[in-house]
Amino acid sequence: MTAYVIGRLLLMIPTLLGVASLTFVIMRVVPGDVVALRYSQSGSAPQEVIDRERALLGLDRPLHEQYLDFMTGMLRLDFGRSLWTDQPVAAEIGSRLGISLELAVIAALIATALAVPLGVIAAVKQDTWVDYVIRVFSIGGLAMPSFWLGIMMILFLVVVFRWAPPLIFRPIWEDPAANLGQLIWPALAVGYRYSAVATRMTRSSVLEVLREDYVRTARAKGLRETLVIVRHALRNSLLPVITVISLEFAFLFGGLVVTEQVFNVNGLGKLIVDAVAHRDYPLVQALVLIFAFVFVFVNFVVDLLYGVLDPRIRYT
Amino acid sequence: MSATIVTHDAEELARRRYLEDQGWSRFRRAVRHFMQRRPLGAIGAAIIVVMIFAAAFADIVAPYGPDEGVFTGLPTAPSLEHLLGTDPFGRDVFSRLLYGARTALLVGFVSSLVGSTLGLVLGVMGAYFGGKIDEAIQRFMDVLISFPLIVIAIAVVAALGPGTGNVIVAVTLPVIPRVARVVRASGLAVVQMPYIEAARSIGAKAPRIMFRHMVPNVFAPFLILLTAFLGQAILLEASLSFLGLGVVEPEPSWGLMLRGQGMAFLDQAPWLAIAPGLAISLAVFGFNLFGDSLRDALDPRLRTA
Repeated sequence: MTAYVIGRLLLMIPTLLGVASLTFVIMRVVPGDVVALRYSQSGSAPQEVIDRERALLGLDRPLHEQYLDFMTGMLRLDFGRSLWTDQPVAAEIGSRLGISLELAVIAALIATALAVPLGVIAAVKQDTWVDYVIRVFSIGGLAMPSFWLGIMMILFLVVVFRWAPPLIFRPIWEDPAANLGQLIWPALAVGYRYSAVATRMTRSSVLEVLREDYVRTARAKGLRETLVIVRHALRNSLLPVITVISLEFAFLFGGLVVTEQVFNVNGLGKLIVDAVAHRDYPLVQALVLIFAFVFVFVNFVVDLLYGVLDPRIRYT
Repeated sequence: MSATIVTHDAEELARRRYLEDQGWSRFRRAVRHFMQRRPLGAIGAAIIVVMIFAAAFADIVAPYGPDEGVFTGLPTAPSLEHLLGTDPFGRDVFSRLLYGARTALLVGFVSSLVGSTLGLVLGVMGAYFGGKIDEAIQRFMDVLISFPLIVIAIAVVAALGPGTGNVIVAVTLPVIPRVARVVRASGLAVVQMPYIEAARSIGAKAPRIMFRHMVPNVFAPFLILLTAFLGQAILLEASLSFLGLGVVEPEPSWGLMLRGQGMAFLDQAPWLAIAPGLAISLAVFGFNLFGDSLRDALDPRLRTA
């Protein structure tokens, strides 16, 4: 088990190094740099001014030196300063990371709270109208773009409540009620799609388990149906459900960009769009690495959970 | 021999009927069977057919051209003349929806087809060769899959400039590793089969074994993934265009219609935002329904969450 965990952790390193290198290459291939962009806004500048700025930011150094700098900095978890705002990258990301993470967690909670009961009900009432309603609800969630659902929610809120997307973000430790009031709508918009994926998985997983011998045994010995469903069927069907919920969480975290745009939430998604637009190399590299790390790490945790939740699975 | 030979030979007639039975009518029978057994899949197929029809005959069906109109600065409400009203450029929203189906289908089909095929090739190669080659492919797929999609899209657009062709590149890339993983898993089982060993022992070369023997045997999961990614690709195109990283004006795209006018006139002209969103949802809904039923029909064990 320990050997397996260490092996898996080691396997994360080449992936993350690959992601970091690829980001480095992509960003240098993309035409334009931060200095050119800054001066393109305020008209033209003499070539020597541009050259001096580039030298100041270290952009004139050979690429392999810049690459080595970036890689060694990464190992020390030091991502340098933003080229655009001159703030430390860690500070730029710090405040926004919380917002995106909170949004993703609320969405995951909504999705789980909806998906597990709906999926179980649909499976138990298979091929009745209840099942059909739940299935249409979940297929609809897969089809609707979450940003469009967000637009429709705003439309509804604006028309019915004269509500307007907030301009200032309130952190949860300052004003929990206002914070939730701001994040609940984007969380619902992405949570619907999220719950749709999880509901479908719960339904098919429970359906599979309901055919097992031990469920028949449980019924035969006269156990109440609720106990059969909750203790025997649901418990044994949770593994794929947890997998899907976790993997979707990783996807969602990297895919909040559009929803944040619609609801004017100042999270990592908006940050990365701006960072790429400004050719802010250190910021982009750090952000991509965070997204990739969350993805790889969640995959790793899911693999470990398999062993914890299902004693039949052994790691060698 | 002249082209019009009338045969009275009973044997010949029977042979022809048998041949016909193998071709077109066999296909028709399969379609009828699918429609009866899987009504939801048939609904999905119907939506897809309507969409393809709208895209193919937009020039004839659409009441106005996609760019036709006089700039007014304000949208107009739906009327008999303009079924879904007009946008601030005076363009007919309904006509633009029909033309938008072209963009959606083009991006959807090309990127899921190219992405899945590349994934198929990489997956089969990994499964067949194993060892170092497999390891290298897998690590590369790991990198590609953990790369946030939106960064790929932003980078592609920043490097190549926005436009339909570049959106296709951006949407294709994330499909590759996802297909490659599933195909590799199925391929690993196929490689163990005796017929692969037989092919190898009569001296068949690697490409022949991979493309003649392995590809046909992993085709069911491939086909299922392909249809699953069709809907996803359409959704992605809409998201990218909505962000301003995709198709550019005046090209008609559903995501783009939501972006500019849909958001700006949300409270005055909500239909500008409602109509394209419904079109996207309906299209993806259709592909998902069809894909689901296809999965059930081809391989009930395989799931694409």
